[in-house]
Amino acid sequence: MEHEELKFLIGKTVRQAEYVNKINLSSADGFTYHSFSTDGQSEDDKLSAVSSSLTSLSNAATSQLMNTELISTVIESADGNMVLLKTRYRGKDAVLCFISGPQLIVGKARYYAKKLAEAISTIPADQSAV
Amino acid sequence: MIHKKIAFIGSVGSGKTTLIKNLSNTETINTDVKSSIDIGKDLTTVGMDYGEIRIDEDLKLGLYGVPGQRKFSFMWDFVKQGLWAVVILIKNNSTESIKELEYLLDYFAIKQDTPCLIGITHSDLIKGETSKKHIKNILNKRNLVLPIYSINANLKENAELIFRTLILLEETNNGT
Ligand SMILES: Nc1nc2c(ncn2[C@@H]2O[C@H](COP(=O)(O)OP(=O)(O)OP(=O)(O)O)[C@@H](O)[C@H]2O)c(=O)[nH]1
Ligand SMILES: [Mg+2]
Repeated sequence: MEHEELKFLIGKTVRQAEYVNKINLSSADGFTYHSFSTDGQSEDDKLSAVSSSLTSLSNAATSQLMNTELISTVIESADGNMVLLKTRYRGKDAVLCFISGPQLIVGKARYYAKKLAEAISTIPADQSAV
Repeated sequence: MIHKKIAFIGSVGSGKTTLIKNLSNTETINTDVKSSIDIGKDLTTVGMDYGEIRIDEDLKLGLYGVPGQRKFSFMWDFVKQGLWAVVILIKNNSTESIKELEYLLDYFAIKQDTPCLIGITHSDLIKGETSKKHIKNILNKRNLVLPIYSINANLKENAELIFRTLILLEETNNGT
């Protein structure tokens, strides 16, 4: 099945982190690979496009204005946090978007998102889609 | 110091990023990434291009390039705010690029009093004069008369032409 390993890793993160609202993995140019949402409703493609734009802008800010490398983009809100991370998926640049509720402090959200991004980047490229 | 905002819009591959890079006095902000689908080139803009042109001590032009792909139109909404002028790029002889013009004229609510010009790019590579006719037809339907130039986005020389035209248009619109 397509993205099986990815789905497994996301499921594991959702159980461990609790309070996860949404996890979305897209290509660097904003195409959705897979999206998980606790409330079932989704605007996946919009989220993928926004994730891609935000990450590219964060990347430009760090590499071109701060002369350093981007680690993550964190957006805090009254209703929770969004963590965006650059990763690789099956040999291609990808963006992970992790959205959690206010119960999960931002440091923890960042921790789980990072762990997931790292795990995703180890999924072998040759695990081809069926 | 007055800061005027110019948007560069147009279909994927019409040359927005290339042109801004060539016009800007400063190093441009670049948000291109590898495209995962075939769009006829490797990279595509997913955030925003930004460059600047210093006209004189009092006037600075901010050059804002948007992604051509419609799914990023929330970036268009952002760039749309407080615009002074719009440059629309169209790839010569590309039906898709010409079709996008209608969508963009509506989206950016281009009126006759908006300083706006159309640049037909790639005309050094792709010959043919039919694009201009199609573009004029589209403009006619909307009662718009806009300057149309053939430009090569790879050449710096186009800068002068574009900005002199936009400033002239503004002056004409203001009746000066
Ligand atoms: N020969 C020639 N090449 C051009 C011209 N305009 C653009 N190009 C080339 O066509 C490609 C256009 O790429 P971009 O500048 O990335 O186009 P864009 O409008 O920014 O595209 P998106 O960001 O994907 O929407 C580049 O490889 C340019 O070098 C032109 O007038 N003549
Ligand atoms: Mg571009």
